[in-house]
Amino acid sequence: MRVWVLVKLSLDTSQLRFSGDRILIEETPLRINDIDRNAVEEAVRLKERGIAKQVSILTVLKYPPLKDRVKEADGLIRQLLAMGADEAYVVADDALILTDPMVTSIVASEVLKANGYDIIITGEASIDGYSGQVPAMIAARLGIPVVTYVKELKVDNGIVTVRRDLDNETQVVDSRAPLVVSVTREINMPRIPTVIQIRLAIKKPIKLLTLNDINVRINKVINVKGIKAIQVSRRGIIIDSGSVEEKAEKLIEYLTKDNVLR
Amino acid sequence: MRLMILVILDKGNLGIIGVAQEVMEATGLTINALLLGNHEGINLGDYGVSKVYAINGSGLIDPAPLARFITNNFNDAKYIIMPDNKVYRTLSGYLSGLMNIPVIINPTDFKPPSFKVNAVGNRAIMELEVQRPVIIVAQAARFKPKQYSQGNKAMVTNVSVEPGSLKLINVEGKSISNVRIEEADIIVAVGRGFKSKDDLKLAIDLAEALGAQLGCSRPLAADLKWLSEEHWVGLSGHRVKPRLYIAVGISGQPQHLAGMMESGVVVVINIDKNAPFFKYCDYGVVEDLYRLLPALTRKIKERRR
Repeated sequence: MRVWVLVKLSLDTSQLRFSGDRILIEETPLRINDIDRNAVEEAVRLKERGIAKQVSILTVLKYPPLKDRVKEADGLIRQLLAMGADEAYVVADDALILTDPMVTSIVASEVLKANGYDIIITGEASIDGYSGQVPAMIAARLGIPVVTYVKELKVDNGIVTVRRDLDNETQVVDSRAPLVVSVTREINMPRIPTVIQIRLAIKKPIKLLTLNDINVRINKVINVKGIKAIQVSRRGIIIDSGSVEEKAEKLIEYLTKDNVLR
Repeated sequence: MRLMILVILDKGNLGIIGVAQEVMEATGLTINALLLGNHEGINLGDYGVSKVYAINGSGLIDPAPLARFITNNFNDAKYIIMPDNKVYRTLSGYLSGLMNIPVIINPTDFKPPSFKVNAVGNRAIMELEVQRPVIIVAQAARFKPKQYSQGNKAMVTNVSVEPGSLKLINVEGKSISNVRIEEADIIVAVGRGFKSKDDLKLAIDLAEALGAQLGCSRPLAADLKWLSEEHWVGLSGHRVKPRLYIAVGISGQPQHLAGMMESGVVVVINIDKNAPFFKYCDYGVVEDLYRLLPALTRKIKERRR
């Protein structure tokens, strides 16, 4: 089987840079969307079990400045190749900067159609956008089924059995490839590659694609008129001296003054 | 082409009609509803819905057949509105793919065609404009639908949808308690700083003394399962906005912070003075929770006497 993992290189929300109410997107580092590491791990395990013949990574870059991000992406994607993926495709084009999930799904579907696929795995959502829309969007565009929020995956005799973690229940569902699977963080513990694996990953291919290469033209349907930081100013008063009793006393004093204790 | 609003819902999240009403008032379009599952005793006519299409049975295991049904029959919907949960979020994505229209998740403000949504891990507000038809996913519990008039009967048509290609093998229920952490006034939230499940007693005692609900970070609900998911605060758990949020033994991962950003006063208790959470607090106490919590609980009880 040919297995794909869709990975988002998110903005690292723990390292956001601000200037007043502006988020300095261009200066904020990227980070592999945490849950997509679980997706890569699951794909690599399929390969180790002899189910997947080839594991390919696909990412669509969303953040400026494009030239620097391509370099940054290379370093990040190498980590995933070191985990055991075989190759990667990075789609980078100015027309994709700050576009919405629908655009991601259009681009990803075209790359998948051009290359062939059996199982497409991705994280349930990204840490920055958190819409969780891309897996089902791609499934619809490819005309194949989708199972979302999967915390257990088995492939046996061509039957894909998953355990889906929904709000009020857990479903066990059978399906057949080709299909799209979105996974939760509980599905596995992503491996940390060894030094040798990291070194070997340098030789694995990363293919850089533009929209021209995949014959896609984007009409922006969502017009982003502005992005403003949510400014929460916290007082940041740290109580770190005195005995335990004194610290507790001090805290209660502050909270009483703020009128938040009943 | 006649345009309209299509709201998709089931008995458990009627609040979503409130969103459809706001869009109706802003645009003058009529509301049609697609009602999933049992619909006995629900008259959506009272809420300004003109036509109801009832789909009985079939849980939404495979979103594909329903998405195809909507695509074939509601091509004239300008706004497709549905509640926010994992099942509907799968449907919204599939529908977007079939209809080639975008999805807006949890708008905080909507004056079509303008919308505001939280973005960048809940750290920013993004203002959007969408001219095309759009799918809106919103939290039903945040809206209260208006009853326009009594006894206004909506026309109900029963429809059926073909089964999908996914096969449901088994369903396991989750234990659902009455915790509604989204509505809590005070929250005491616990994290990996607690060494065992039994030790949570220290936080439970504090919560009781404060009249607070118990919250937790991801590992406690998802990995260790010391608490049920109703307690889970975070991007993939619940988003909360209490008057007072006390985080005990939580380091402050961005995904957790995203779930409690809207809290009033934030207190952080952690033994590690370098815990990232200290950067986002009003009051931070650097102390061993095993020593601080008993003292705090005792003093709060004394104070109330």
